[in-house]
Amino acid sequence: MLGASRQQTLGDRLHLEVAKLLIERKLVTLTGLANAMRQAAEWRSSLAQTLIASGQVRPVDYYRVVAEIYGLPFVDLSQDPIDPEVTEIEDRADYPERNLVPWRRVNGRTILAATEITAEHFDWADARYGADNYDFVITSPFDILWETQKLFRDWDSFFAREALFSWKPEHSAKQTMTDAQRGAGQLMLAALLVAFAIVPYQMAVGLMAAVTSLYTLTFAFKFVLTFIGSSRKADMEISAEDIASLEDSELPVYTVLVPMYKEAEVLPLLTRALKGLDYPPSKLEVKLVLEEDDLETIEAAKALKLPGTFEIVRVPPSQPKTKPKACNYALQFSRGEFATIYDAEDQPEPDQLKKAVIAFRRGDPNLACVQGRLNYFNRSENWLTRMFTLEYSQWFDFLLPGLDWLKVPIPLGGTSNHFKLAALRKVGAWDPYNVTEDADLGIRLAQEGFTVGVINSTTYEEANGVLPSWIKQRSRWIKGYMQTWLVHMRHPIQLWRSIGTKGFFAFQFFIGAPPFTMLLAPVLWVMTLLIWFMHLTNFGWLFPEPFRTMALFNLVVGNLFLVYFGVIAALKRRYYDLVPVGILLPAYWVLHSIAAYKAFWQLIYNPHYWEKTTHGTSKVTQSALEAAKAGK
Amino acid sequence: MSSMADVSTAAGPVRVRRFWRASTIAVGIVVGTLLIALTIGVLQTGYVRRDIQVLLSGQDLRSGGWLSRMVVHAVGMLPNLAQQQLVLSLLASATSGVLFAALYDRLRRNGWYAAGTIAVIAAILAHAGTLYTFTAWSTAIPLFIAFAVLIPFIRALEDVGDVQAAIGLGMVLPLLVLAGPTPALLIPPLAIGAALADPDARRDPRAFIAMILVATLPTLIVIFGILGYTAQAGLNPLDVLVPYVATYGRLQVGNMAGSIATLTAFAPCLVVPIAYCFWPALPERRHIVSALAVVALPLYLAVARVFLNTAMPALTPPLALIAAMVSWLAVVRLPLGLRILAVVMLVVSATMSWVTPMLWDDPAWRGAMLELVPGGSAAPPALRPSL
Repeated sequence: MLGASRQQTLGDRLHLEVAKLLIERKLVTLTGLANAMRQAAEWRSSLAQTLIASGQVRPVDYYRVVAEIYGLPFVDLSQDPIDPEVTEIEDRADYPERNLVPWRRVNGRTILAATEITAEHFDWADARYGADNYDFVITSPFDILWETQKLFRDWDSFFAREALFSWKPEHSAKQTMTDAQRGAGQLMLAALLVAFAIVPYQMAVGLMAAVTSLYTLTFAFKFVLTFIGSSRKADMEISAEDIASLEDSELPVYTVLVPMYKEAEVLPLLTRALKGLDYPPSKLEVKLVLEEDDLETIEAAKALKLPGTFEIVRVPPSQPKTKPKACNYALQFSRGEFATIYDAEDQPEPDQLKKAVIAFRRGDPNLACVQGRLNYFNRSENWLTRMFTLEYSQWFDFLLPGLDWLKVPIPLGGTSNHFKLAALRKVGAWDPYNVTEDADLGIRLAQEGFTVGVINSTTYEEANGVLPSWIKQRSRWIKGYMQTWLVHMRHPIQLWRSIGTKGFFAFQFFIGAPPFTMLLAPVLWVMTLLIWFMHLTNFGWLFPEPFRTMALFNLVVGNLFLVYFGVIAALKRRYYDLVPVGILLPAYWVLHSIAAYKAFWQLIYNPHYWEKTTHGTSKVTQSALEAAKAGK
Repeated sequence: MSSMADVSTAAGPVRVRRFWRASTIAVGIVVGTLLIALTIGVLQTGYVRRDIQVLLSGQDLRSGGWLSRMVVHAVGMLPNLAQQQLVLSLLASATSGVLFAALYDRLRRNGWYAAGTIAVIAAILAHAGTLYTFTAWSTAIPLFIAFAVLIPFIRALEDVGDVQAAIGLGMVLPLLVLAGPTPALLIPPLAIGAALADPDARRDPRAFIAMILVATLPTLIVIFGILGYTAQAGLNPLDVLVPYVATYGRLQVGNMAGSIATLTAFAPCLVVPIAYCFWPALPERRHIVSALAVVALPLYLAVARVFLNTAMPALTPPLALIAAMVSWLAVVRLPLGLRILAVVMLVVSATMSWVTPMLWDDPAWRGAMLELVPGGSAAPPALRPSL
């Protein structure tokens, strides 16, 4: 009864037979089927994927009919679970990818649960069990996915946490500093103290000279990046005509990962935005990556009765409880050629996936990632959101395109980074111990010889307009930059060799210098105030020429030009209302320094702690939610 | 007017060229060496550079040309006159080497043949004003650089209109402040022009204000920087205003016709950008604003020096025009006819600079120069009766 002969590999005929039966049983309308067949042909997807993705038929109903056509039993794996004894950890990746899994052993024969029976399935099974030593039953792909997730829960969770560390411990932030780094740091500190004791004047002057030079060089680097990035030539322009010329049939399967934690509130908005993506649903695989203990969000997601394109991945609880770990976990069940990440409150432009596909096709073979631009939909809400918008506009519209143009490593943004899945897996995916896993991944991709580009498509997010929440979020980012710098500076010569001299210096000025300058800024502000307003101490001796001139340049020209760069950031997006507000950026820098001290403290005492950003607090989000609930 | 299709055909495949090519470096070295040799030759006759004379008289503080003042002041720290002259001359010659190398590279990138490029450079070098600038009075170099940099950004605003063009123009405007009080007056109209170049700014007052801020903020920043350095040097920041008050405070009416005549006599090459505005078949979309700016900016100098109380020599506007024009040549795509006209007019400009009655007053330099020419004489040539 369970046996299936090799002649039963029906190929395309299978789905047509299924369609007939579905119509007979009134599970699908004739019009619906006609539409699905047309779309399946256009998109070059299977009829099953098209019907399920469009929500016309439930997966379980579809595969019951498949079982009927084959004359095989249908097995609901949640009711009749897989026998763990018959599965092999080595084949773990094959199960969801090939849509088959060994289910049980009956009378010495292995029973394989599959969604259909193909020649490849026979080959796979022959290689493992020997010819004619196995039989088939039919199940749904979601059953295979969910049940294998349960079955390999501990392994998958371990893999998500430790894969990178096991493969390349020197690239993981599991250890904030290696013993060698700690030793070198202590040695340098000791040398510094001794030198201060012996020649205090010279040391103080030397340190100020170094700091002054660092500020000047950082300013010069930002100046160059902003100027280059402001050119239209620096944008990877993909036009509406390019998108129109894409054939849906040639589009690959795209995985969209949406890691969320306690964000049930914004789910309706997110799902509306993702449903609005201009991409064939049958080729879209949206994974809502939720923590197992976050029952509220899981229930909210279920209650939305999302179409077959969406699926919920439950991440088992373990430490560190970070977004990269959740993404690594979900990555194991991803089948797309490309993958991207969105945050819960993200509103990507509908054509973003297609633009990414075009960018990958046009790019050189080493192009592993394209970064979408991020911006905010609630920029005018308050002063903080305005500043945040200016900062993001400068970052994504000027600095990242500038880095891209210079062909140096790009620290990725937290969301809307689109990957070639194979390349992502090749570099060990995200570091779950790094709290800016995105920035770190950009550097690791460069070290492994891959490149990153920036595309002209924007994802709108919610700017954090609540000060305590902003400080938390920013302290995490700064801590992550500190982690990333420490990780990649474990072997500076190796880093220099792998990303080149230009890349090495860009890394120092873009990743290393900002946290340091944020920590140092308050010290210099206090000194300036003492000199200018209180006349308490004369610090002139600390700045012999030419450092005195450089320091004055940094203070007046450098700082004011940094304000200017913030102001012009509003131009590309025509946010003219933000231009005058940009003059207040120095006050925003004070907040950065506060966050930097918090980050530094956490780096020492709680390096892997993920400061969760609360989303959905904006009035704009609230009113959009109301509209979504009202079905507008 | 030519279509975009014509443009793409005319432009042909774009080859990526490195700046540090052997020929570019050779041009830089040859020009730099030539000017150094000339300068040293002039100095050996006992001639004292005009900028050093101004420094010695203490008048440099009143010029308001902050960049040149800074350089001359730094050079003034050297212990004796010979060293000051030598360093300033070497600095000017080295700068000229780099500038001419850059010009060579830009022209070649822009489709000019090597022969045409060398002819342009030779014609500029042969201009009496150019030689005077590099060997005797270099304080106007920042102004020439400012004009030369302004033109590509005005064209970029007109052509591309991206944020880089807006920032670029904003960044160049402070050069006018650094160049002196007279060119500084160009900042407001240029800032307004830059703002109006943006279609949004023509419709939306907020956009207009934003674009004005983008154009003017760098200038304000540089002014703050000047004030900061003045304070650091222990000077009264109000002293910064002195050159401006002196320049704008006493308006006068001078010989405007003479000033404009000098401009046209020493730089008849101004006909080229004007001809460009009417030339029938161009290999690019016509950009009239930047072409006219090549003439209008130096024309402003010629007019301003008549009305304002400035020590700007009559030679400065025509040289500013030549600087603006060669910079324009480096970015515009001209048909062969206009290129030939440009070379011819530059040669004519150079010739006129030697044969026209000289309107600047430095017979010592002229004498020193002519002594260097084999068979030359310190006596004024018959072709220059007015001296």
